[in-house]
Amino acid sequence: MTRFIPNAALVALLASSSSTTHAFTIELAATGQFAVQGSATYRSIEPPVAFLVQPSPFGRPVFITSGPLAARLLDPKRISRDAADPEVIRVDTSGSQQDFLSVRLEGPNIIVDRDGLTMTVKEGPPLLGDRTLDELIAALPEYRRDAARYTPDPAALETLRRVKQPTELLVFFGSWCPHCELAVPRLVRVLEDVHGAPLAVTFHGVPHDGWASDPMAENLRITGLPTVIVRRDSKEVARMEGDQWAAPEKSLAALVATPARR
Amino acid sequence: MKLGTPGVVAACLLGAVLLLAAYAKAIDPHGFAVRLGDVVPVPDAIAYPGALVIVAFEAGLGAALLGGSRHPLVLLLTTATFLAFVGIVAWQLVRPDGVAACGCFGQLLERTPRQALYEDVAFAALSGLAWLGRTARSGVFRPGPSVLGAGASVALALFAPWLPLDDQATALAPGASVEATQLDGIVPELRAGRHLVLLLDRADPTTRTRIAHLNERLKLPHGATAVWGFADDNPGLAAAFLWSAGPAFEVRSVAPRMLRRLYRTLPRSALLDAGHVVATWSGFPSDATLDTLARGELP
Repeated sequence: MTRFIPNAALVALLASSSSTTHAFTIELAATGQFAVQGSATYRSIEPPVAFLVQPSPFGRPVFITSGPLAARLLDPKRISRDAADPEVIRVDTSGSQQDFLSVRLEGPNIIVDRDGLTMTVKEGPPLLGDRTLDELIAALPEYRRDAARYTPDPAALETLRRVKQPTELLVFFGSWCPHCELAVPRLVRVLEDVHGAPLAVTFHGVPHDGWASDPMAENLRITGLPTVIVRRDSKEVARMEGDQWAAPEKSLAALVATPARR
Repeated sequence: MKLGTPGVVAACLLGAVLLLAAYAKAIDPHGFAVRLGDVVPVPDAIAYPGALVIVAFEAGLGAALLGGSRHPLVLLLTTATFLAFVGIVAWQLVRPDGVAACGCFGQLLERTPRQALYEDVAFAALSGLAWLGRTARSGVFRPGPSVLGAGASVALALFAPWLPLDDQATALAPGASVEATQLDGIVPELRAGRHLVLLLDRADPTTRTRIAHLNERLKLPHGATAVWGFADDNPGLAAAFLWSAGPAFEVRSVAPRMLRRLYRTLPRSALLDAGHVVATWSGFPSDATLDTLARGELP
């Protein structure tokens, strides 16, 4: 789907969309869920969705915006880094907009081209195998951003902090899975808030093409993602699945405090 | 008490149940056709006409019973109908992928399959009681009430999409808790505070063009009222909608069966406050309402 929209119309649309984001500035954070080979990809922190790719094959950073889909080359002077958070950048969208590129959507991928040069923003490769919390956040920085937005129940956090018996949490998830993108950051926030509790956490990324190709998920009969297996003394004592992810701290507190024997 | 009295009461009760069941289906015939497809594997082309036939049958039978007819054919059909319901609901219970909620009354009275089973067994037993004390007069079949009931129910079903019955026909109605909508399982934030919920059809071009207007009117993404969009779980459409419409709010994917409980036609909107639905709109709220919400006030 290629969009040919007069530049003047795009200028007006971009100006109107940027006026809703306050002070003509859009904040973006590094993303691991979309990737361009040889470039860093940033995604808007708040909707509407926008991407910044830098460097790009076109010589300057490419800024891709939605509603309607549009892409343009950006003057690097319009980009600034957040002093407090190096993973956050700001793009100044004020003033006239120019240097538009041809852009189209092919499935989940965005294809940008001009003068025979092409750039593809693809879904990033899935995160596979066992990962620590730090590794998970490093690979999927948007999980930390979404974790910061979640407010866990204080009483449930207190219950988790009082856990004395060493407990293992094995979290099965897919970096490609939309439900995991919503749910796992909540658990990340909970784990950050109960730091110091004897909870050993491993995140296990499974492939996109089915769990049958992941022996661990198959052996443990994982039927949905995300799923947490709660283990004590190397034995499974409980699972957190489905609706239990709505408030993972409450579900975990209930499971860890009085785990049902399976 | 005469022997005929329990029979008359049972017949009238079953007649009322069947009429209520027909009404519940007739106010959302397309939704009933979808549920029918969940229960019985029928082609889409047959599901809607089949739904209309069932509505007409239930209303016709109910009207006959309420009209005082206890003709053997009427009573046999009544017993057979409730036994069929018992069978269908029992099958839902044993099926590994059985529907989560069912019953004769749609969203008017939503039950689990187990509750519906007990209820249908009771109605089947009641249909046996209706045979008691039949007289020569009550054994006559007068077609008038049945024709009237069936005709009225089909007319209601045909015109229902244009009638303001969304709140009756769906689980998204003023006064309903957010738990009843099941949307809190996807967005737990809905359990507290004030939220505008938009049920969207990602494939609808009019909805896509309307999103920019909503963004601007509600001063999103930093407006005073939180906004959440919900749409069918279709990854292909999700990406196209996200980039072409540019919603300045989160749009979450929902299993079609779950979303279908909340609307008859899309788009549909609702305002949630403190964990309860306080207002609903067919389509999007008016500009005046959006301006009120943008100021953080209740419309």
